[in-house]
Order: sequence, then structure tokens, then C-alpha cells
Amino acid sequence: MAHQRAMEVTGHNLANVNTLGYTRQKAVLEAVGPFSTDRIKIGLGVRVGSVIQYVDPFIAGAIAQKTSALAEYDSKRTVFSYVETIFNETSGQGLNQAIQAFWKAWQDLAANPGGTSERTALLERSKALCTQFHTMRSDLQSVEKEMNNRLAGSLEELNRITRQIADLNNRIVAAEAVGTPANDLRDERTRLVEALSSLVGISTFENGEGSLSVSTQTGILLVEGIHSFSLSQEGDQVYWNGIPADVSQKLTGGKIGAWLDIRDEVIPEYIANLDELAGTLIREVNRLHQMGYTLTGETGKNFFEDFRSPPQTPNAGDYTGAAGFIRLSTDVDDSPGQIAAGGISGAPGDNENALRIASLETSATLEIRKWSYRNRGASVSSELRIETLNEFYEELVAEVGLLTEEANESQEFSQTLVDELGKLRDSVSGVNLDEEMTELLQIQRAYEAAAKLITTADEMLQSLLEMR
Amino acid sequence: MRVATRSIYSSMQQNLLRLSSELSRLNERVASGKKVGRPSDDPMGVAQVMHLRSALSQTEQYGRNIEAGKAWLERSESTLSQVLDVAGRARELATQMANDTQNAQTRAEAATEVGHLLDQAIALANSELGGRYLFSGYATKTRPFAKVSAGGIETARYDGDSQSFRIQIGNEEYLEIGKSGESVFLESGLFDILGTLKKALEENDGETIASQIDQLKEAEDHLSNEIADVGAKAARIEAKETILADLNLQLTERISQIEDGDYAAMIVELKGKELAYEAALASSARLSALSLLDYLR
Repeated sequence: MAHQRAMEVTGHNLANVNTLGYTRQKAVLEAVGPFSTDRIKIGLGVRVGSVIQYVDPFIAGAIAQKTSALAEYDSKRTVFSYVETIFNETSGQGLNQAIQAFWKAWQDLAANPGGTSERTALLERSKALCTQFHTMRSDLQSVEKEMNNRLAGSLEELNRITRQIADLNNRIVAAEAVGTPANDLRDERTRLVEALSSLVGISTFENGEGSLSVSTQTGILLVEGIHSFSLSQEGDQVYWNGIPADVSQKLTGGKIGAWLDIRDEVIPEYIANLDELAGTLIREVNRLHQMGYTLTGETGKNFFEDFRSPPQTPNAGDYTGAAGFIRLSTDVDDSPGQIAAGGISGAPGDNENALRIASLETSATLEIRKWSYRNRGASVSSELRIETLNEFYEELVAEVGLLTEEANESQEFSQTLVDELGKLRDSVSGVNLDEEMTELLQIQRAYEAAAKLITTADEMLQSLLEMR
Repeated sequence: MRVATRSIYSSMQQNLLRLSSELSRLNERVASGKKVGRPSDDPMGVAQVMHLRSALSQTEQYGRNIEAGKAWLERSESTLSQVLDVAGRARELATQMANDTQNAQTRAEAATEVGHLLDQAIALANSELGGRYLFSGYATKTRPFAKVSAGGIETARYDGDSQSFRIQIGNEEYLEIGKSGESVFLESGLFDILGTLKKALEENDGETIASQIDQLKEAEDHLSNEIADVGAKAARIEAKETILADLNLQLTERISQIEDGDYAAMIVELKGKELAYEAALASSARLSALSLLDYLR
């Protein structure tokens, strides 16, 4: 009978050879204590003492932690690869190209300041540049929105998992209270914890009764005993257990951490810098354009529609929204003659102002602010730079590339770690077919021997009965 | 170490996936011939390439400006040489007519020729290039000189302005290629001299005729200086053109160094990865065939 139970356990192992997160079990056979007859002690045979699991809790903890990192970088990598295509300058089709075409059109105008075709070409190039700015900004914003959607999905998943863990806690404590280790329930709970850690960075603690409490690494309680606490999204904020206070700053690691990092830190920074670039371009071109003369001899005209953002502290004087706003002024739009190419008059050969504006391309005296968003946008700072617009934008693209490269590398690194830890865990907890087969043979032989014993006993009894 | 059966299969799977993704990335590079496909392939390289591309686009633009400038200078030079010829012919006539052996008849004939020379000089001063007047300063759409008569002396009135057209031929480097009619023609006094000479010839005034010879000489000197100036600018612009062409080549090469892949190296790498992939496939096939189960029947 004991061997039949043992065989069942082996069969269970064999059946779960491919089950993710399954922990190998073993029937521990123990001799049934002797009872004494006179002076001789004879054992009473064997029984299944318990069915144990091969688990190394240290490895399980490490896996949960690394899974968070892996999920975080995996998510970031995917999103950054997309952001990279928004900035893609390697194809020669990006914003850089549009800006260059814009300066070239000014140079062409300087070569023939009275030419209608040069003027019209400049207006067309400028419109193309504006469109490029608009497209990039709205693409970046749609990434922000997408992050919000993904956050909602991930939070839903998180709530489902924490409910299930709480439920399993209940069942495990109940099962183990009567002394049977709830092996398969524990496996399932471990799987859920792993899934949870891919959503957000967590830490866990198991109490003596077998109930697991789960909280985020930053201490937000998710599961305690049979209770789970939900996280819900309200606009841009995340509420814990329905309490209207934003806890999103405390959700780090895992997919949720990645979505929030991208939504509140990475994308806003790019948008701020893109706005800064567009705003500076508007400011500088207009400053010079106002000094120039149109073909009809008028002066003080804007080239781009003037952009002033309402003062905002602490970013007073910034250009929030400029990249989405930038457009030709109503003065020059559709009126090529209103471009102020002249420096002293509206004479058709006066190119002084066109030359001045064209030289903005290489002017290294422009003031431009480089914005940095840290702590998910909680600390925003800027650094005043004196550099060309090209240099500013080049740095931006290099940063996008670096960020993606870093995410790629971190993802590969965490993947390797998780793979290795997984192998390590499997080396303890995983099922090996050959091993189970030998186990099976062993049990089979023992069973046969036991059967033989019965036959022999039977034969002996027979012999006894046959005695007359 | 114990090895779980699942680990064997999952690591087989991971290895094959990793190798095939590396293969596909290499393949992409070989197909495009580019080492850098997206910013993350080489962030610093991409920034550099962008910088070089801007510089390249600027040198190309300066090249275009120079092309336009060269045409302008060449046209100015040939026009001014022709004007110089006109002045030369006028001086020749004046020298001839200053001689007392000439009479009113011959001088009147010469006056007609000088009249033609004046018209010719004004026409030359009104030369255009691509619909723009060469010598009207910024007022390129305004005909610079119109023939007028002041106190019975024919001359030309200047309607242009005193500005000189500049082009950009390098970073912070500009060159004046336009000449205002004021500095070239009015300062030389050529039109006044020709008008005066014509009147003197008509009036058979030998003394005034003689006095115009030196005046014409001075006007020729002035024109020669202007031509030399234009020539010097043409030489400078040509030298700049060569420099820009060199720069262009250098920039293109540097971009290519960063961006373009080395085919030999890429293909060797591709072959290496292919081999690794095949080896992984072969060992996976072997490993999965090994099992105690095969020996237990």
C-alpha cells in the first residue's frame, strides 16, 4: 500500500514534467515503529510518512526579485524601440533633415532675395518643419496615453492575482492546519507570486501558519492573510484600497514601474526638450525676422506665429506646447512677399536679413534650456546651454539611443540571471524523467518484493494448513 | 548538478531563439550594408553622423551659393572688360581728335561714334543675370542707369542704391560679390567724360577734347582696379570651392566610416553565427533523443 502511494507521487511528478513552476515531490517512506513481543523487537513495515517538496526558498526569493527587473526592462525595451523610431534620424528622414532643409531654404533665399520661387520654397519647407514637430510631439504623447492604458490593464491583472493569493492563503492554512502539506496549492501560490513580481517589485513574508503576506518593495500592503488590497487607477493617479491619495510614486519595478517611469519621466522629458527646441526656433527666427524688411518695405513682422506660454512655476518662461503649436504667422503664410529677407529696405536684392537668419544654423550663441525629469517628474530641472539648435537635437537623439541601448543591455542581463536562477531552481525542484524512472523501478522492485513476501507467507500458511 | 528535464528543453529553446535573433540582426545589417540601423545601435555614432550630415548639408549649400556667386562674378568681369574696351576706344578717338589737324567735319563724325560708345557703356552697365541687374545694388529689379542730358551734356542717371550684395561661402564667412553701379561707374566718371567729349567734339573744342584724354585714363584705371577686384574675388571663391569639395569628401568618408558596415567582417560574423546555429540544432537533436525510457523495454 505504501509503495502504491509512492508510485502515485512519482506518477504525479512524471505528469508534471513540463509544468511551469511545478515542484518535485517525494513520498518519504518510514518504518512503522516496532512493537515488542517479549525481548524481540520487530518492525511493523513501512508507511508513507509525508509527501515533501524539494524547494530552496532562497532561490525562489531571488527569482521573484529578478523577474521584476526583467519585466521592467523588457517593457521599457519594447517601448523605447518604438520611441527610437519616432526620433529615427539614421534614415535621414527625421526632424534633423527638416531643420536642415529649412536653413537651406533661407540660404537659397539669400542667394536670390527677390525670387518668388525661393520665397515660396521657404514657406513650404517651413510648413514641412512645423508638421514634423507636430507629428513627433503627438507621437510622443500617444506613447504617454498608451502607457496609461497599459497601466490600467496591469493594475487589473495585479488585483486579480492578489485576490487569488489571498484565496490560496485561506486554503493552504486550512489544509495545513490538519497536518497535510498543501504542496500543489503552494506551487500555485508561488507561480502567482512570480506573476505578481513581473507586474511590480514586491517582497513577501510567510508566517508560521503558512499564510503569505505580500507588499510592494516600497511597503504598500497587497495581501495580508485572507485579505487583498486593490490598486485602482483614477485619471493619472493610482489609489490604494480606494483611498484617494496617489501612490503611483511608490510603485517601482516590474511592468507597472516601467509604464510609470515612461509615462511620468522619459516621455515628458523628451516632450519638454522638443518644445524647448521649437520654442527657441520661434523666438530666434522671429527676433531677427522682426528686424528685417518685407518686399513691400514693411518691418516688424513675425515669421512664425508668436508663442508665449503662460508663466508656470517652477518652469517660468518655458515653452510647454511649442512643438505642437509652431506654425507660420498669419503675416507670411501664403504671402511669400512678406518674408523679411531685407536688412535695410524691401529692395529685391537686399539679402542681409536672410543671411542673418540663415546663419542661425551655425550660431553658437543661442540660449537654450536642456530639461531633465527625475523621480517621475517630481523634480524637474533645467540647465541653460549656449549651443546650436543642431547640437541640442543631436544630444537628444543620442540620449534616446543610449536609453534604448541601456534597456536592451539590462534586459539581456536580467534575462540571463532569471534563466540561470530558473535552472538552479529546476535543479532542486524540477522533474528529471530518468530519475523518476529509476525511482519507479526501485518502487516496483520493492513492491514486487513485498508481493513476493505475501506469496511466501501465503505458501507458508498453505503448508501449515496442509499439515494434518 | 541535477538537471531537470524541463531545463534541458527550455535552454535548448532559449539558445536557438537567441541565435536566430542574432542571425536575423546580422542578416539585416548585411542586407542594408549599414552598421547602424537605429540610434541604439551606436548612440554616440548616430549623434556624430547627424553632426557630420549637418556639416555636409552646409558645405553643399555653400557650394550652391558659390556657384551662383561665380556666375555673378564672371558676368561682372566680362561686362567690365567690355566697358574698359569702350573707354579705351574713346581715349583712342580723343587722342586722335585732339590733334589740330582735325576739322569740324571729322570731329562731328567722331562725336557720333562717341555717342554710340556712351550708349554702349550705359547698356553694359545695365547688364542683367537671371533677370537681376548686376550693378543696381540691392535694387536688383530697377534698371540702374538711364540716359539723361544735363546742361547740354549727355550722361546717365543712377537709380540703384549703394549696397553691395553678399553671399555666405562658409561658417561666418561672407563675400561681397555684387557691385553697386555707384562705386563702379559713377566714381569712374565714365558717362560724364563721354558726354563731355561728345559735346566738345560737336563744338569742335580741341582744348576740352585734349583734357578728356587724362580723364579717360583715370576712368580706365578705376575700371581696371574694379576688374582686378572682381578677379581676386573669383580666385578666392574658386579656392574656397576646392576646399569645400575636399571637406565634402572628408565628411562623406567619416559618415561612411561610422555608418557603413565592413562587408568582409559582417559576412565572417554571419558565417560564424550560422555555424553556431547549426551546432546548436544538431546538439539539440542529439540531446532530445537520449532517455532512459529507450532502454527500458
